Amino acid sequence: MGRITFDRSLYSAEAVEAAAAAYAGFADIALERSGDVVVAVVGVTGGDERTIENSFCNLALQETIVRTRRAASEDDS
Amino acid sequence: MTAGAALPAPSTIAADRLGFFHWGRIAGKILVTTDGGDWVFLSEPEFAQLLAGEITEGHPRFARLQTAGVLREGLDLDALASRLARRVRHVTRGPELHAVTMTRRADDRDAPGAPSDLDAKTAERIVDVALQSTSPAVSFELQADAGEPLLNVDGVRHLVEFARATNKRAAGKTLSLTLVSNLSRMTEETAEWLLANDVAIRTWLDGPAELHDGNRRWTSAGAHADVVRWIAYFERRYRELGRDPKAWQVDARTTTTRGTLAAWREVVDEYVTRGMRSIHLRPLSPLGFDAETWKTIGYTAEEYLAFYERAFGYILELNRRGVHLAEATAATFLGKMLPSGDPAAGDIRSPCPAGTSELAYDVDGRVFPGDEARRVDALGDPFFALGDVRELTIAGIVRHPTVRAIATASLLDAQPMCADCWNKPFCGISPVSSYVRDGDLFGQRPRCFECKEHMAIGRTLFTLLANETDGEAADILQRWTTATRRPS
Amino acid sequence: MALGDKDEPVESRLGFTLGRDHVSLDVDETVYPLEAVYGGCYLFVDRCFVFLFRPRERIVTVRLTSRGPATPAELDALAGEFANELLSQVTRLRLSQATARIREYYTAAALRAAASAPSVDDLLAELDSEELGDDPLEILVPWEEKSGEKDTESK
Repeated sequence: MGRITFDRSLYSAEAVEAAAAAYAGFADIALERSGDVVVAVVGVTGGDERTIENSFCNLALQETIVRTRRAASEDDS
Repeated sequence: MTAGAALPAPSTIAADRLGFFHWGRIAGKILVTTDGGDWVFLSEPEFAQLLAGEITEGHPRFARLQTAGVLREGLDLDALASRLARRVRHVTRGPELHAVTMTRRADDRDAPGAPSDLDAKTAERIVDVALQSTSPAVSFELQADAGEPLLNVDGVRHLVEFARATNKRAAGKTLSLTLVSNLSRMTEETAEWLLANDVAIRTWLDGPAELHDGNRRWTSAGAHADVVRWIAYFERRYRELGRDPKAWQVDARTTTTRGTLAAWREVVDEYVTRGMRSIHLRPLSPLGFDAETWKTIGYTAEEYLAFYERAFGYILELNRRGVHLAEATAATFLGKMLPSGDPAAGDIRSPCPAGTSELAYDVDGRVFPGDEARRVDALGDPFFALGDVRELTIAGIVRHPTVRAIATASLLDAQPMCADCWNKPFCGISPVSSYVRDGDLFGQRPRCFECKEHMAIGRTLFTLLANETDGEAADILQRWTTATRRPS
Repeated sequence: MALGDKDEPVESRLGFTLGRDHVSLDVDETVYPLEAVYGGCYLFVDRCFVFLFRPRERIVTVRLTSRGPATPAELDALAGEFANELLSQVTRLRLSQATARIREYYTAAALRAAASAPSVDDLLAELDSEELGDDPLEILVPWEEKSGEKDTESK
């Protein structure tokens, strides 16, 4: 079981949730929101553990960036 | 390791001396591009001077950069806006392309689910709605699910005649009609009727006989022998009738399966042999193929781009030898890069044309934001259905929330990587394709298939244009911007 | 420091922090705004795994993990490319911020023009009726003058 700590000043909680949902087929991911962080407890159920955990983190980052960018352009308009 | 130990501090830029531009490194130079579609190649030192605000009157690059809108001094915002307006006019111009499915039949039997064919009344309503468009030009593409609209030849004739009569009586638009057919049911009588009624022909030609016929397991193409026979027939008749060869040529598309990748030379040679003046190389969409089939016929972006690079290089070499064959995907990009082109044409645009510039109609009268969206529905997902043509107006269609969602999702300015990309003024993404590949309208992820394809093509073209000593290549590419466009 | 094949310590040539399959670099947010860091990260997520964490206030650590095996030199090169991209991203960000009003103006003007499709005569008539002194975005005011005005105002 991996524990991954996402700093909420760098990752959007909603983005981490979206990534967890996207990877539901490969891992059991439980999220704990606690103060300034979101902790993901990851139990990989299918595939290489390193790849799944890292890919999940990549998606969380991608989703954070897209959401941040979209929010910024909505503010501009 | 603390900050500064490894990272150099960014140098300051004279931002208040600069307009807005994108940049990238191509062919050992810096390509600077603007939203208006202007582009300039600079050396690294010149680019540093630009950022430092040191390109002022008297500098050899000043005039070019000023005209392009890269410099703040003398920045003509209205001229820049005008150039950008040319690129986005399709958004408000009104739907121009109307793809009409004439039949769901694959042969003489009825298709499962009613109706099999587009009936006359629904066809007339489609024409009426299409001609409500504010676009000064309207084109109809008459097609079929399984590739042969001539299975409903009476319907084809009726729609063509009704469209011409209605347009002449009431709308006065520049009207064009294209039959998208695998030519399996073409007869001489039908061919002569199509010629007499100025209906253009588009078909599929995947390469020499073995390759083309081998692909037919997965495509809508007709038998190679039929296709080449009718291509020759129409080309001969166009010549006999004195038709302008730029406007009148059989348009053929390739379907690139895994089997095509190694046969790039043979595919191009086939098009040259048949006297075609353009070839449309494009990757296969996974739409309609199950995972097992996709393993057989699909490929990665890298594999496709290796094929494209070889085919493109060969096509260019042939052009240098005097063969007039344009590559249509490259021509679409060139249309946005070169002044001779039309930046608001083709399916690679931002915002994408689905719903605002292109519509599709199924045999039952349901309307979709383009034919790819219609095919998604035909495979069981009604996500993109806009409604029934009998209950809709064109104004209602273009304002539909789905059309707005597609336009928003396709706007490159709002995509994290696209907004900063040097290729942005020349590129476009399809949220419908993103939905097909990733299940998400906003699926434009870093370097997805479409992005890799567009970047590679853009890079290839700009590498040629960067070489100022190769005027021949520039002339060839310029010619392609008009070779694939039917004069309206 | 990372361990090489012979268990000897391997140092990053460029001063980054090397692990067996990853390389990390600290970024000061006051020098490289988070938006620029995001821009760089977005371009690298297809090549490697990217993770961000905050070791202390104002600092973001970017950890780039290779997708497959990678030598220390390859990891160093990856981080070097990322650092170069960060520089580009900051430049883009500054340019974008400085030209926000310009972009808003020409985008809005372009959409209006696209919607109304005026004739050449209309455009010429518009130009003729324009008051030449009108420059709401102060595009034509030299920056030295603007700076001089500010200095004067602050005194």
